[in-house]
Amino acid sequence: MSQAERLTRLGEILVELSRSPIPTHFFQTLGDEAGSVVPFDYLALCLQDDDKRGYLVHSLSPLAGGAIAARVFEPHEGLPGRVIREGRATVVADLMAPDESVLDLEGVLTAAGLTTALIVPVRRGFEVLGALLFAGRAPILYGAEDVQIATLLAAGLSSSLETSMAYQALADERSTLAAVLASTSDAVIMVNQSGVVLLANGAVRPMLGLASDQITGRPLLEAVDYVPLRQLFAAGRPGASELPLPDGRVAQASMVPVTTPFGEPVGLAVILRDISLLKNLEQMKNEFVNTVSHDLKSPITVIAGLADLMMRSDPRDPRFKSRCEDIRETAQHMSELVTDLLDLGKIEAGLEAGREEADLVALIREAARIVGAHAEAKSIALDVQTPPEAETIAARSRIRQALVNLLDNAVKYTPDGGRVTLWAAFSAGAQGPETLTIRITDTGIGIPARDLPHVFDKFFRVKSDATQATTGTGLGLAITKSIVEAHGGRIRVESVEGAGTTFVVELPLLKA
Amino acid sequence: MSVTSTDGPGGLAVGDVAPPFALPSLRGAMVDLTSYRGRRNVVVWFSRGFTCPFCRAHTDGMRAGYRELQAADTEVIQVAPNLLDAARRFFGPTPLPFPFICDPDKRLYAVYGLGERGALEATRTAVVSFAHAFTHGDTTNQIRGAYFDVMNRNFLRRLHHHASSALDQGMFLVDKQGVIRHRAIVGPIDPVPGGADLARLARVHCGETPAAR
Repeated sequence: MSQAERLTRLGEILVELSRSPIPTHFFQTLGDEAGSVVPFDYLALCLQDDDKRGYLVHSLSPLAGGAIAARVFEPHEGLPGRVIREGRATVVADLMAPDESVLDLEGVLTAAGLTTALIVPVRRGFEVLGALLFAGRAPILYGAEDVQIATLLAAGLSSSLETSMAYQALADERSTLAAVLASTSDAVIMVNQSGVVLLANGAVRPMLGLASDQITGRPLLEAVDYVPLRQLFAAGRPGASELPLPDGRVAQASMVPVTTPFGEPVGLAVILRDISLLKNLEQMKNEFVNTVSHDLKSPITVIAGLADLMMRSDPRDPRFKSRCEDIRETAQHMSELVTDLLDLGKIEAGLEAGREEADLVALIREAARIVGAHAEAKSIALDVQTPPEAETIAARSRIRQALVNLLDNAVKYTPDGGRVTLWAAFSAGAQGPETLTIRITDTGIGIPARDLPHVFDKFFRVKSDATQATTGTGLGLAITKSIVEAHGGRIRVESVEGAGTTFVVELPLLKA
Repeated sequence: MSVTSTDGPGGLAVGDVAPPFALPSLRGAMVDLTSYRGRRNVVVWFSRGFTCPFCRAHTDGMRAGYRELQAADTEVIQVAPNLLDAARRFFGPTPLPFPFICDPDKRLYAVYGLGERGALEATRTAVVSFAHAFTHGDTTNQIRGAYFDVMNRNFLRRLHHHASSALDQGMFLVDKQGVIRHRAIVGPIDPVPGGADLARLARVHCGETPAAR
């Protein structure tokens, strides 16, 4: 084969090499085709590892009667090591007599009967990436023309490797970016300068309630029919703003201009973050502060007013003592309110009393005894039906507090001569009793249906003549709910106005 | 000194906000134009690079007046159309005192509205440049620069790039608000203002409390 024919063939191989950026593909091409321009009995590609502390040998053709270790060779080891270090093509005419006592790879090539070798560096710019090793038996002998062809082949391989590395880096970057964008709950939309959507992540569609799932690649005005967002892009002002969402939630929209590192403008990106919860929290906080300050301020006004009256009146006045009692009572109410608030704070912050083994039935009986005096004073019948015992793990004082709250409420809002019933029973699961269900039913004034969803809210009190006459902080049920939920249980309420109310508490039975 | 200062259509004019960029420098750190906001004035210098004697003379002029520029609270960012690793090799362990960034695809040049002057101008530049190198005994550096930048990576592409492009050189004086206060566009081998001239310009155009236009 003439040198011209070899060069033509080489051109074909280089075209073949550039067909795929996948290393295994062009390694295969090299192993299959390189023999037609540079003869060999064994071909290997030696590539430096990532941190340049050595090189690995990838056999591109089978090696008869031996194998090269799949390990990292030190830079000073082997003939390829020398070529990588020095960056010069090397022909070894006789592998059995290596010059400067550099072995072939552990003597494996000579052991396989190979007698001659040609090694060319694979470079990229100033770097040497590795070396291409051709080895053969007689009658193969490598000459200057073989070195030229092999060097060109190595150059082609180098550009394939570079393409492959760039492709790999790009693919990695893309998938990382895609994963980040897909897993964030913020909606990210980017449009180019002519208004075509370049990117829209998975959170966009649910957040904006879009019908179409094909957003990317279409003009924004066509893909997104939500007017406030269109206006946002139309204005195109960088910065943060609030954007009402179609379903009533609120999002914070941050608009940023996107440019390449070279300063070329690419387009505009908007990141939408659902801040409805924050807005709600803010509102709840404001309401809470207002209520607490109101509830604390009105008794203070009462106390101050009474004190003023007393200063002006004679201690012998018969109303003097009743005013003293009023002050005492009001202070008592304030103290209850503060205690309740502190309790609620502690329970919600999880600063809980220690959990220990507790018998729920015993706690029910204690609570009934505490409320008993109050019930007797109003001649209300208190009826308690429970199983003999219900062992669980719980904070005893808290559970007792919750039960007392419920029973006390029942007694408080039931007219004289009424009836309060506590009924408790197990609900069985696969492994015996799992839950204790406690129903507390009264024959009291009941709760209007419109108020039922709010009875567990802090400071909520049903507004009616009957409740005006009864004292309360509006925190009892909120505390009770917190306690039950802190124990993994549930609480709900059923009521018919004028007929009575039933609270149902379900507490899981935990084993020590 | 012949310095043209034109506000041509399409390009960036005095009073415009300088387009931001963030590119790696010769020393390895990122050079981010926006990070100078509120701190220093900046001269963004779009140079010819380091492969010809004129380029190096310009760089020497900048280096000579650098102290004065710093006294005028002004930094220089040199942009060159070379490969970053070629520049690292050329300057070796003693790089320039000011940030030097590379833009081999000339994308940043385009963003700042700087064009190439075509093959004829490029040929003239090359002839003048080589003649200058020979008459001034600067051939070693000439060859070293060309070797690093042209010979070692994508030989044909880089050669084509060098042979067919004669870049406009541009200097943009950007004040602490990021606004262009002065600009000078000159031909590839025409003289450019040195560091001392720029320091004077910085004092004139970027007074202590310039009103952003």
